[in-house]
Order: sequence, then C-alpha cells, then structure tokens
Amino acid sequence: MDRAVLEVDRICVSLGGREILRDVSLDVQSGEIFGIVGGSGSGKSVLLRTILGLTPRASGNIRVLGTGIDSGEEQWRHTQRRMGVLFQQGGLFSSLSVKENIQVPMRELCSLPVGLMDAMTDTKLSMVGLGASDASKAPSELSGGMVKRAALARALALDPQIVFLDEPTSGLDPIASGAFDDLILTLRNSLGFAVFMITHDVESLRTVCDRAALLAHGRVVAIDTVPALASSRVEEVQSYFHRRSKFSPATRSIH
Amino acid sequence: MGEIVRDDAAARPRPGNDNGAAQTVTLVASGAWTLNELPDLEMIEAQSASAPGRSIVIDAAQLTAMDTFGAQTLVSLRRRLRAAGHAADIAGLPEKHARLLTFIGAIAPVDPSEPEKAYDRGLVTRVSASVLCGRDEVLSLLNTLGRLAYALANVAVSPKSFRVTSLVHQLDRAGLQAVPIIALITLLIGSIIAQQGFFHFRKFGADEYVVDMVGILVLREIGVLIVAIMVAGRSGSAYTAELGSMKLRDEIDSLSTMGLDPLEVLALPRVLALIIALPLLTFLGSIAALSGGVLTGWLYGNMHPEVFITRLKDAISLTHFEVGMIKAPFMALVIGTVACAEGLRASGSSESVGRQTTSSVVKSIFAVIVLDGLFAVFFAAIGM
Repeated sequence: MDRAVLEVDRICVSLGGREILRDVSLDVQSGEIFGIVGGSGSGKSVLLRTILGLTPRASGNIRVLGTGIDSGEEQWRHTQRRMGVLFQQGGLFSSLSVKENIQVPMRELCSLPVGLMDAMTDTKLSMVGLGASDASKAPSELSGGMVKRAALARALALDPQIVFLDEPTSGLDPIASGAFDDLILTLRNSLGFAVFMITHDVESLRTVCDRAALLAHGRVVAIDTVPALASSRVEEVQSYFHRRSKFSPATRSIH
Repeated sequence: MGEIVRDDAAARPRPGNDNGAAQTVTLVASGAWTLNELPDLEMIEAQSASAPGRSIVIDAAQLTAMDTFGAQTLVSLRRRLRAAGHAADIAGLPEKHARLLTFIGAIAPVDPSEPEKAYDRGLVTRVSASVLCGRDEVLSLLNTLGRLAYALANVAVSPKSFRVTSLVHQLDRAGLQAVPIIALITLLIGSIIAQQGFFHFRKFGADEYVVDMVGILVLREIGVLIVAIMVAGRSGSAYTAELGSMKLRDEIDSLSTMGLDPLEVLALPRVLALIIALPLLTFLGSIAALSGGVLTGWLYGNMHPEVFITRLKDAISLTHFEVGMIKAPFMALVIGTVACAEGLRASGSSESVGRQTTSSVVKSIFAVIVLDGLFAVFFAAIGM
C-alpha cells in the first residue's frame, strides 16, 4: 500500500506572468484518498490541471503511476488510460447518452466484445448508484448529482489506478454529498484505486480522506493525515478548519 | 494473459453416484483476468454446455490479477453456466479478488429484454413526428414575431428602455462589416449577368437590351435576393449561434429572472439592426452589380460606360428601384425573426446549437425566396 502512484516534485506554475503555484510537492500512495483543500484562488484547480498535463508548468517534476509527464507522448497516453478524471461540471459529452458516454473510453481505447461492454456499462452504472433507466438519458436530462455519478462511472470505465476528482461534492445538497462521499469510500475499498480529490467541503474531507494538503497562495502550507491537520497549530490550517467547522455539530455540542 | 481451460484430469465421478454423466467438471482459470487480457469464453462454454446438469467448479486459485472486467467476465460465466442448467461455482479465489467478485456479483444483471429508447420508429411515426415538428416550428416563429412586436410596442411607449448601444453595435456587425464582401459578390454577379447577356444577345444583334436586362433584374430581384441570402448566412447564423449558446449557459434564463424580456434585450436590437442594414446593403449591392454590368460592357461588350448609363436611364424607372427596396426590410424581418427564434430553441447539447444554426440559415433562405415570390405576385397585381 505504500507505493507512490502520484509524485509531484517542486512544481512551479505561472499564468499570464503571475505565479500561481510555487514549489508544490506532494505524493499520493497506492489505495490512498488524498485531499487538497484551500480557499478560492489558492491554486487547487491549477494544480490538478498541471498534474493532468492540461496546464504547462515552469519547473518541477510530475510522475503518475511511475511515468514522468515528460516521458514522451506515447508513454504518457498509455498512463492516461490508467487514470480517471471527474471534472467539476462532469464534462459529459452532451450529444451522447449516459451509456454512450461510459462506453467512449471502452470503445476508443480497447477492443471489447459488445456484450461485455454492455454488461460493464450496467455494472459501472450500478456501482455509482444509477439505474438502467438512466442509461439512455441525455446528460441534460440528469440532475446535478446524477451528472456527477454518471461522470464518475465514465471516469471508472477502464478500472483506473488513480482517480482525480475536482470538487466532487460541490453543488450537491448535504445528503447527496454525504452519499457521494460514501460511494467514493465504498468504491475505493472494493476496487483499491487511489484518489486525488480537490474539495471545499471540510465535512467531506474528514469523512473520506486519509491525508490532505492545505494550499494557500500557491504553496503547500501543511500536509498530513486529516486528524493531525485538524489539530495543527499552523495558523492558516487552524483558521481554515476553525472557520469552516464553526457550525459543525461537534462545536455546537460544547454550548 | 488470462486463460481458462477444462481440467480433464480432475474430472471424476461424484462420490456416491455411479452415473458417469453427472460428474464434476473443473475449469481452471489462471493468469491475469484484466482489461485487454480477458480469456475467450466461447470455447469453454461450448464444451461445458454439451451436457446439462453437470456440477462445474471454476478453480480460480491461480488467478494472478483481476479487475472489474475480469470479475464481470467470471460472474457472467457462472451466471450463464447456471442458466444452462449446471451447478456452477467459483472456488479458491484469493481473498482480495473474492471481495471484488462479491461486489460485482451483488450487482444484479440488467434484464436484456428491457426495451431501449425507441430509436427504431416506423415510417408513419417519423412522418407524423416531423409534421408535428413543422407545426411547432411555425408556431414558435409566429410566437417570436408576436413577442418582438410586443417588445417593440414596449420600447415605443418608453423609448428610454431601448438599447441604442446594442443597436449601433449590431448595425456595425451586420451592416458596416458586411459592406466589402457584399459589394464584391454583387459586383461579380452583375458582371456575370452582363457577360452572359452580351454573349447570347449578340447573336440576335440585341446588345443594347443587355442594359435593360441587367438594370431591371438587378434592381427588382437579384440585388435584394443576393444580399438577403448573404445576410442570412452571415448575420442570421451568427445570431442563432450566439443566442443558442447563451440559452445553454442559462444566460437567457438569468435575464428572465431579472425581470427583463430576453427578446427585448437581445433579439429586438438585432432584428432592428437587420431591418435598417438590409435596405442599405441592398442599395449598395445594386449599385455594385450595376457597376459590374458597366464594367463588363466596357471591357467585354464594346459598350462605352456613357452609352451604358444613358441607356440605363431610359431602361429603368424609379418603380424598379422601389420594388427592390420595399422588399428589403421585410426580408430582414424574416431573417432576424427566424434566427432569433431558432437560437432560443436550442437546448441540451452543444450539438443542438449547430443544428439550430443550420436550420436557421436554411429556413431563412427558404423564407426569403418564398417572400420574394409572394412580392412578385403582389407587385404584378398592383401593376408595379
């Protein structure tokens, strides 16, 4: 379980002449759920996009599943097939049905018999808690939570070894977001993939993540297990956890 | 590579049963049962299906790796063997794979008989659906036209609410920026008509009638028609795509919830800009086409420009010019209304924006030609 599936080594990113990320280093171990927290504009999404190779970096190294991001297009593409990404808005192809969306990676990247592909689509849909009746729906017919589930099913289509989630519970009500957290935990426990997730939701962080890093002004302020972070004395960490957990049941019970 | 073979050595009579047919068959699964390395199950199923009622054990102790695809394949194999009347079971699976298998196995198979969304519709259904769709489209066009008239009335009552900046901006886009291409195309068309005229009329010694033909044709029909078609392709399509993508991004709904009428804010300035720009472009286009005629006459038809223009003065009257110009604002109204109505009909996917844009251009060109025909009948009836 202690094999690093993601290694980020001192990366710096500048966009439009402004430094967004400075010397960010972190690593995610196999089977681990790693959270990135931080205020708006702290560079979380840029970090994710840089790791995915969508935003160019000024310096530093990134290795995903042992492959360096610079190790040639062919090799990186091969690694990309073992990664799953859930974008904040889902990123489902609007002109395809949910079923076709899930089958895109299966169809394009492997040669599977149609029967198995259909069975796997149903399996992936059931895994994320969607029914067979949702399979033929267009993404525009789904609710926000269902879009996230369908997009997760697509991200999991090829059994990735690491899954990147960009604010998976944003825009969901507390019940739906709790259910989504449970779903990610259950899937991780049964399928054993690693998760790199960006979140704003402290509750979700406490429930799901094994370890987390706090990002502020483009730098990693703290990186530790979630309970250790919650009791950290670093000012930024304290203010982040304190401010966000002011209304949590634990604090309320003190009164 | 994942494999599954029938272990004939392990085939043995069931204890306490002398019947040789009811023996236990062992299928040995080995290797990596993962995506891209899945074993071919057809063969082994064909073998096992030969005599129903057997007890089949799938020995999975030698599996080195398994993912959800492998688990699904194993579960489907067991399910299909059981469906074929065998007592099938999976044995010896390593602990970590067993958990995954239980997880996948717990997911109930979807009933394959469940009908897909009805894509395969009969001819009658399709025809009736398209007729209904056509009716809806006409209604939506009339609806947009009505709402535009209402918005115009609102603006007339309180002129302060009219968005002059937007109108000027749209006039610049649909009018001023279109001038070079419209002038060029109409000049070319005018030249071509004149060239064809000189080429064919010369055989009858009727060279000078080319001027009459070019003058009347350009002023009454070609000028306005070419310009309207170009504006439909250039500005109408842009309007549809703009409004369509705004609709998809909830921008139209945002306007509505702010208590603003999207048609008044977005469509009215665009349609009015077209109504102002199209007659001006038509005038410009007609002049350019006549210039093309003059140019061809001079270079190709041995007709001096002065002669051409003198002849033109005799050949055409103000009526011909009026006929062309009267049509222009109506065509602009049709193009603008169709473009805005189609844009607001976009929904769901980005593909629909493309579909509505195509449909907007096709419909407005069709409508412009139909309108031109109606005007021809009308002008003939009133003797213009």
